[in-house]
Amino acid sequence: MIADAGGLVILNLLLVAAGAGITGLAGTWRGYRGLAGGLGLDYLVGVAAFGVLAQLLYVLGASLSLVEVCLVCAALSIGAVRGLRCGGAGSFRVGPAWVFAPAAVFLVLLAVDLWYQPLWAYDSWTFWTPRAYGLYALDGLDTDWFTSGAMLGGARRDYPLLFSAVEAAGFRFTGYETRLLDLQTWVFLLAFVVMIYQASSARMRNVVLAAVLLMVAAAPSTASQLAAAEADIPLATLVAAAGLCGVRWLETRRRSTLVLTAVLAAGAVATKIEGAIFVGALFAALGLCSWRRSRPDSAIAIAALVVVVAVGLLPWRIWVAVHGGVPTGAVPSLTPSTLVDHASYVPRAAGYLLFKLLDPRGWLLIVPLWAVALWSAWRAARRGVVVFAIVTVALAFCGLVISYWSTPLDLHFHLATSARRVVTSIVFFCAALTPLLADATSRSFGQPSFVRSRED
Amino acid sequence: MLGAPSGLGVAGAAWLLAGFLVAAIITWRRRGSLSTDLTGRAAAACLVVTLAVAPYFARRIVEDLRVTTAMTDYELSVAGPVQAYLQPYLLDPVTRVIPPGATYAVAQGPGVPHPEARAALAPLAMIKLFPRKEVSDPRQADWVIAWGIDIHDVAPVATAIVARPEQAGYPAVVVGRVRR
Repeated sequence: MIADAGGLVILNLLLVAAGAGITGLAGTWRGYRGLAGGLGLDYLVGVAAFGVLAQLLYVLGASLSLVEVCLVCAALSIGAVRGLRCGGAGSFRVGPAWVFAPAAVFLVLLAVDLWYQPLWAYDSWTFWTPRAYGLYALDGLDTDWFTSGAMLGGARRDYPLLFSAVEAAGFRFTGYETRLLDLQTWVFLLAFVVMIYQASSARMRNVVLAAVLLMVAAAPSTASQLAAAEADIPLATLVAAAGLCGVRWLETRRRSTLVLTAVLAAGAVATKIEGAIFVGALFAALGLCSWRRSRPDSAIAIAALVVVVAVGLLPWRIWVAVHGGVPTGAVPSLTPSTLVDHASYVPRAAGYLLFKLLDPRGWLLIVPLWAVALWSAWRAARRGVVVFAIVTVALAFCGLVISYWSTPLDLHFHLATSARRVVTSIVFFCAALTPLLADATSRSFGQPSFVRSRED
Repeated sequence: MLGAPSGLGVAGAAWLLAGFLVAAIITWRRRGSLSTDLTGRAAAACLVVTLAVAPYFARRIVEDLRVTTAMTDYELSVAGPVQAYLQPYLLDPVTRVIPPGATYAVAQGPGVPHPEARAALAPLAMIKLFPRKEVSDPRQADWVIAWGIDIHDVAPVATAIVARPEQAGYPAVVVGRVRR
C-alpha cells in the first residue's frame, strides 16, 4: 500500500503542476517563490481543469491511460513556464507558523486515520468507486456498462464525471486500491486549508485565520465526510476557491482572475449536480455586485456562468442524452403540481438545513464567526464584498431548499441522509471568506484587495 | 468514521471538561492580550472553544483507529456491504452461474430482513458481476437474480437455480435464465 500511496502522490503532484500552468498563464505568480506561495490554489485549479478536460475526453471516447493522464497534466502545466521566466525568484510571504500549526496537527491526525479507513459509506462503495473503477477497468465510458440502472438510475444520471475521473486517474497510478480514496479526498482538504493560509496570511489577522483553519480541519463533519470518501468535500473546496477568486475579481477586475474563477467553477459543476446550484449563486452574486459599477462586467459574469455550465456540465448531459435512454427510478420534479403538493417541505427543509449549517457538533462555529465578520465588515463600509457573500450564501441556500422541495423521496429520509453533506460547500465558502471579511474590518474603506495577489 | 464512539460517554465528557478547563485557564492568564474589537474577540472565542474540544475530537479519531487497525485486510475490503447488513460473499456463487457478457436483473423482496440489505443488493451485484450489465426490466435480461422473492413472480425463467441456500435469517439467492 505504501508503493500505491507513492503513485497517488505522483498523480497529485501532476495535478499541482497542471494548476501551476494555468495560474502561471493567468499571471498570479512569478518566480519559484511565487509558485511555492500558492500551491493550495494551484492544486485546486489543476484538479478542476484536469477533471473537466478528462470528462470531455471520456465523452469523446478516450480511455485516459496512464500516459494520457500524464500528457493531459503536462499540457496544462506548460503555462508555468511563463511564471517561472518572469520576475526572478518572486516573493513568498506567509504568516507565523502558530497560525497553521493547530490545523496541521489535525490534518496529520486525519491522514493517519484515513490510511486505515476502509471504504464503508453507502454512496461511496455503491456509486463513486464502482464508477471510477468502471472508467479504469473498461478503459473509458463503456456505453453498455455505464448505462446500467446502478449507474444512471434515479438522480445518478445527473452526476458528472470529475470526481470519478480523478479517482480513475488515481487507479492508473496505484492499481485498484480503494483504501487510498479517503486520502485522495483528504488532499482536497489539505489544498483548501493551505490555500486559505497562503491567500490570507500575509495581510490577515492571525487570530481569525488560526480560528478558521483550525475549525475547518477539526470540525467533526470534516472528519466524518473524509472517512466517507464521497464528493462533497472536493465539491466544497472547489466552490470555496471559486468564491475566493470571485472576490478577487470584484476587487481587481482582472480578466485572468475571472478565468480562474470560471475554471474552479467548471470543476465544481463537473463534480456534483449541487455544484450547478452553488456556481449559479456565485456568478449571480458576481453579476449583481458588478451591476452598479460596470454593466459590461456584470454581463461578463453572467456570460462566464454560461461558459462554465457549457464546459462543466454539457458534455456529460449530451452523453447521457445520447446513450442513457429513458430515465429510470424516481427523479426530482419541478412541476407546479409537485411543488404545491410539497409546499410543506419548504419550511421543514429550510429549518433543517439552517440547523445543519449552525450545528456546532458538525461545523463548530464556522458560520457564526462568518456572520460576525460580515457584520463588522458592513460597519466598516466594505459593503460590496458583504453583499457578494450574503447573496451567494442566500441563493445557494435557496437552491438547496428548492432541491428538497422537488424531491421524489421521503423528505425526512432525504434530509437525514444528505443535508449534513450538501451544506459543506456553503460552510467552506463562509470559512474561506471570513479572514478576508475580518481583514476588511481592520482597514478603512477604499483600501484595496482582500485577496493578495501573489506577485504583490 | 467507522469506529468512532457514537455517544459522548464518561471518558469523552472527561476529555471535554479537561479541555475547557485548560482553555479557560489559558484564556484567563492571557486576557490582557485579547483583541478589543468584535471580530477579534469572536475569533479568539472560536479558537479557544475549538482548542478546548480538540482533545475530545482527537480521542475520537484515536478510538476510530483502534477499531480500524484491528481489522483484517478482508474485513477492510468488505466493510461497505457489512455496513449495509449484507453478507459480502452473498453473490459469489452467482458469478459462476451467469456467464461473462450476459445481462442480468436483480429483484429483492420482503423476505430480506433489513431494508438496507435489500437496497444494497443491486450495487453488490454490480461489483461482483462486473463487467456484466444490469438491466432494469427483468424480462429483457438474460438472467434474473431473486432474493427474498419468488423468481417466477419476477420473470419467466427456464430453470431456477439456488445459488446460495437460506442462511442465518437471510433468504436463499435464486438465479434463473429468462425464457424468451
